[in-house]
Amino acid sequence: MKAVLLLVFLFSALTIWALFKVVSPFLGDREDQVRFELLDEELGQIEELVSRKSVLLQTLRDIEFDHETGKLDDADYERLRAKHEKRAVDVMRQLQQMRGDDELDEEIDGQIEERLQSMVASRQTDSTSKDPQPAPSEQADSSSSTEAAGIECPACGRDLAADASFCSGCGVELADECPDCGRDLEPDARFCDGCGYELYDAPKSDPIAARS
Amino acid sequence: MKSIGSFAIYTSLYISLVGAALSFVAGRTGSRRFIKASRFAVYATYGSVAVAGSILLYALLTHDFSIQYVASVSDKSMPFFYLVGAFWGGQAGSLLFWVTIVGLFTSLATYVNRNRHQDFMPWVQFTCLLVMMGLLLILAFVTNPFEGFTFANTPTDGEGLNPLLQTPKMVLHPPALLTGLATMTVPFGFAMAALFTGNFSSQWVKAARKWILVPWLFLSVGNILGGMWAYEELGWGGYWAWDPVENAAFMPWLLATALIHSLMIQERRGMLKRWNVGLMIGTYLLTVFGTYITRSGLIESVHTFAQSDVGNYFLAFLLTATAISVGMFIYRWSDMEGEETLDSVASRESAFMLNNWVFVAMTVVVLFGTMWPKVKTWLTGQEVSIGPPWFNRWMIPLGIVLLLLMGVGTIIAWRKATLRNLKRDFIKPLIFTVLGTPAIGAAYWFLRGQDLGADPTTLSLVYAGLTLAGCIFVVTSMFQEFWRGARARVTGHDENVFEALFHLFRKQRRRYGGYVVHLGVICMFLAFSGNAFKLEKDVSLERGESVQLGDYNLTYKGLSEENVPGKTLYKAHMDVTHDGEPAYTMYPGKAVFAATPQMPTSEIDIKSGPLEDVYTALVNFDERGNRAAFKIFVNPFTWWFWMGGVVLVLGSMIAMWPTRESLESLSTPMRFGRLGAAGGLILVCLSPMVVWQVESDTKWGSAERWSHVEVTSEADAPDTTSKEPTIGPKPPS
Repeated sequence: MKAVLLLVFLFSALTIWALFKVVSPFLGDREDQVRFELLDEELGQIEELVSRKSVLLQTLRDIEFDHETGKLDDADYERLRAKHEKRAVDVMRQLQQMRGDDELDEEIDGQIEERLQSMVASRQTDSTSKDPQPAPSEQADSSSSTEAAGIECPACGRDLAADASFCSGCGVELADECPDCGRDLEPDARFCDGCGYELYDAPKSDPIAARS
Repeated sequence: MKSIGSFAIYTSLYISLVGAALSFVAGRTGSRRFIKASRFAVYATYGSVAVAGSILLYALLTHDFSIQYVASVSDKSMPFFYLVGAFWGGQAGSLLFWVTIVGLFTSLATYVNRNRHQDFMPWVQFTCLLVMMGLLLILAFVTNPFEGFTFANTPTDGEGLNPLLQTPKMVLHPPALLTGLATMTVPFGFAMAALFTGNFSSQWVKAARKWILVPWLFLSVGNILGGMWAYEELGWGGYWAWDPVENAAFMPWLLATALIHSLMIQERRGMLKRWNVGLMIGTYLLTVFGTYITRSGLIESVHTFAQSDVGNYFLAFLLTATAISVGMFIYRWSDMEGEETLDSVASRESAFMLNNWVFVAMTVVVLFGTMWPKVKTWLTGQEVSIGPPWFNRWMIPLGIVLLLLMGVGTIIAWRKATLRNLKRDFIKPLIFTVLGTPAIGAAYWFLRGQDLGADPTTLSLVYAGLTLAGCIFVVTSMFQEFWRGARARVTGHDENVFEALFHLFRKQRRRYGGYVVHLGVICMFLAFSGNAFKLEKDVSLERGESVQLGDYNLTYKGLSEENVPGKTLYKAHMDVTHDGEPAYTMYPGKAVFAATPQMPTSEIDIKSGPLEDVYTALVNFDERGNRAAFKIFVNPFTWWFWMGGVVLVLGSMIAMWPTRESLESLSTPMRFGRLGAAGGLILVCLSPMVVWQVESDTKWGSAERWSHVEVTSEADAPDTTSKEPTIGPKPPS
């Protein structure tokens, strides 16, 4: 009997605690509330991607197993695997980007910090203050020069001259017009921006994967 | 105490209303504050409902007869075990139990997904909170379990629990079934969330999939326990009678089974979205409908004790739920376009679709059979009754088709089976089936069936033969699956066969757990095929007279009478010989309760074995015990039904065993969450076996349990005149 009374108290406590938690998000000042809303936007996205990744990997394992036990014929297996692998790679790339950006940010922050300190140090010692300036301009130069110099092959990623008609790496012809809807295209476009037609197959031997 | 209980119910009603509003805003705006608030509103609703539940439990255990409900379902002489069972022994209590379960599982679903699926979880909570609100409205204003007597009217003792319900199975069967029906709310919540958000993606499938297995498992366990109860207490020799209330629990189970299969197709191929969402909604509406027909007393059944006047409120609830869900379903119709289409008729997808159609056809047959007598009376005023023969006429052929599909669906290739696939996958199982069916059938006939003396009709023989063929086909195709899976691992991972099998089960729990569930179902089909050879006799015997049934000979030796507190027990003694050899003595009996003398309960005696059960029920006897009437059955293979139940539950346990990933979402201090998840699963799965064991090893299972009533109140201590059961025949006084 005592144990049941204890239950009554436990559940009452749970109710009161949960009720407090119901109102607590609305109790802070404005700034707190705004922070609460925005804080883990990105975390949510990452979680979404992680769960998608695990679904895809499980499906891939299933496909692999079905093929091993003869439930899927070779053509289907190749097609399904390519399709799911592509999706999985996309998800992982997105994940890497989101996480990678963080790393990059940190790195940039670190470098700025370093430079600031060196600037402060150089000012203090009254030595030449040229040090920090050339570096960024150099960087800007190099990036603008690669941009001006040419394009990337949309099929294999090789750097090409801006006016190239064929890729010197994989020999693919760079389309200047969409074969599906006839729209004029940038030479390095991978998809038609008019109809969404995919111009280059990633694995060229597998037309079905490219279609999806 | 009762005012605190009522207060808790009103509080939870209020919180559920607020919570539903918060979830609605959370779902519409995606605001994190509202999402968090609505999540905790779910916990708070559950907390306050649970307060009400534990207060009712406390009132039952302390015999607080100032509460009407307590007085109507319990009395002071009831042991602890049945006092707990009395919680759901009546209308208001079972409804409170229902809401508590909905609250518990909604909280679990909310907690597990607290950091995931923030787009549709608020809608799941919204739906579940609305459902709880509807039920709490009925609880608060129609059948309040804390309704009291005025001080002057408070009785000194209660009326006691219906004697039919005072068996160990009845303490577990109602909560298992009620839990199964109640937890169907969560998948319904997921279906509605998908409709509200228009998100039918694979993540949604993944999140929703787990929650359909929970009600499925509970419904399975509940129905098996109900079958045991019917078999051992009611005395008509079977475990399933197509009783309307049994049907009410069976229909959602059928649809849920269909859904478990078709969700796999959506997961793999992005097909069948409309079908799945429709099935989920249909399953839920059927559970509410079942509750409605049970509670309203609309249809007569063995479960009349659950009847009351809340039927109309359930009807209102049912109509509201139907209107909203069907309306949303139509509104989202065009968003549920499948991503792919069926490639070939010879494929696993189409086998699964066929299986779905068969399940739905079965549901329609059961629904029609349940409702038609009522509708017909209503329309024409004519009385019709639809009995087991009608159901069997439809369900047996459908069952056999399902059995074949079970084999085909296991081995056929995905998407498109080529002729080569078909040859490779089907040839061995087919050879085994073609050779094995006549061999095993003939073996049974010459070794046992012939001596048993059964005289089956041609049709039932054909059915039994087809069932046997189907069973062999499924079992061989399943072993082929195990073999190929193991071989793939042996070559691929350099393991021996046992390691490979172990890893198959560990790495692909769902798939292989599912196969084990199929094995359990096969055992059950085997039990069904035994019905073709069933023998039964209604006899009236003089003392010393014998009756022959098959190769069993039963002799009525006499009747003994015992007085135990609150009831009188009559036990017949029957000597049984098998094939001329003395085998054992059986004691079928009757218990007459002092409180309800007009409702004597049968105390069946069963000798069970893998080949057949010998089943005796005492129907009637004259005053001096010189003549008694019996129902006697020989039921071949019934044992396999319970065995199938055990295997089925074991398979579900394998399939549902928490994965590492899902355990992470349960991370609580000191691993309580993990232990709780694993422990709860084991407990639920083992419950039928535990009951079975308890009943066969202790006195709880037979009439003798009344000789040793544990008395909770000193005033009702057993009087010393109660005698120990006498074994030999003795002249009745």
